Amino acid sequence: MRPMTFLIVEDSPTMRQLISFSLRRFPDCRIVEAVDGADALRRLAYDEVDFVLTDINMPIMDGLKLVALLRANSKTRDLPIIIITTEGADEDRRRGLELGADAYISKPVEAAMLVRRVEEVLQDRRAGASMTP
Amino acid sequence: MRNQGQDGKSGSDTRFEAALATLRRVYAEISGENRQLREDPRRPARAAAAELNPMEERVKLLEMENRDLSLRLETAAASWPEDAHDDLLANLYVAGFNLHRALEWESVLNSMTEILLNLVGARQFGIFVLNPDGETLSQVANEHGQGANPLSVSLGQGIMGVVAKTGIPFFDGERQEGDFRNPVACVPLKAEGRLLGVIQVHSLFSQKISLTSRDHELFTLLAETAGTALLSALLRRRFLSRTDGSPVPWLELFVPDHVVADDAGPNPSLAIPHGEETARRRS
Repeated sequence: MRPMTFLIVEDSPTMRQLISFSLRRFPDCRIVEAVDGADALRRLAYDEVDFVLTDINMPIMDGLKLVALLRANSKTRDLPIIIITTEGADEDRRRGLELGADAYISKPVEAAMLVRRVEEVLQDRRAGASMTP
Repeated sequence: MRNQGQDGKSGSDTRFEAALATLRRVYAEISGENRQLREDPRRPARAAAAELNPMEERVKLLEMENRDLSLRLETAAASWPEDAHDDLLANLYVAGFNLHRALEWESVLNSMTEILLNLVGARQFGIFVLNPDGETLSQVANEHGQGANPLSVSLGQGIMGVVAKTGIPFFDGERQEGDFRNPVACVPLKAEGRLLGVIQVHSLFSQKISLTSRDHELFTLLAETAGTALLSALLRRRFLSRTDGSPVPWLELFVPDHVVADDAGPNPSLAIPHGEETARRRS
């Protein structure tokens, strides 16, 4: 079975490292990193990704634009996506969820909370798939 | 005498006919059902089953979700201390890693800023270093503090001055929002036990109610490691300034002191480099 691959889209190296470190709790998972939305699209072009975690505020292409593009593409429209937001970003959260993100998590990120949120999204996706006729 | 309507029927006749019509309709329905039952006795059971199946599935799903949620709650309650411990280790690892790999002055300040922003969740803060006079502190980096923070603070003046003078950190565990005079946290930066500067946090992200034990650990790490990283960056810059921009002779660093005599000596002064560099940075 192919290991689960997470794509972390975040311009802060500290945050990328913390998220990557937290996701290592998933056994045999693979982590791919991108520094902004455009970089993420390049990675997705040649890498098989199962889950996307993206920051909102990034240079070149922000997280909201990335979510919109992923949902518009038939290859990536079903990818589970969690957006990572900072304070006072209620509008970003609302917009991200409207665009099709599965969930959001606020900074500062707690490792255990992040893992639980990922598990919840995966579980919701599985439940949704089993309900589909 | 009975009342008669326009059609010549009494009221009781009309009621009787209405009741009879109802009975006939009920009889027809029952007869129809009986006929269907005779033809296929399992039909009602099938119809009921068809209606019940989706509901049973939904109930099963809800029961599963319920079980799962209970399990998760139990697991979360049971493993919380472990989670918190893992979370702390993850944060300390990332903070320490980034501080240790930074060699340039700006890289160290960037790492400190990232740690304060992303790991602690500080919204407004300033990083100050000691001036060559040893009596004042100057701001070298800030987040949302432009214009709000004084550029220079005397030792002993206000909370920051007292923290710098005594080397004792200050934390206000109850507050989320403060200002320069009333910070949420103020931590001395040290190297080899000597003061290099101060980090002052004025406010936290709105979703963060107050400082946690994890934040205290991060501040402790910053106080000790960031100070050393800043000092290393200053010493490196001083070392590079001697090479006049030519490639750094790294290998020289691995030669024992008694073989290669360095005019700065084997143990360069702690006080001179950072003062000079700070002055140079300001100019």
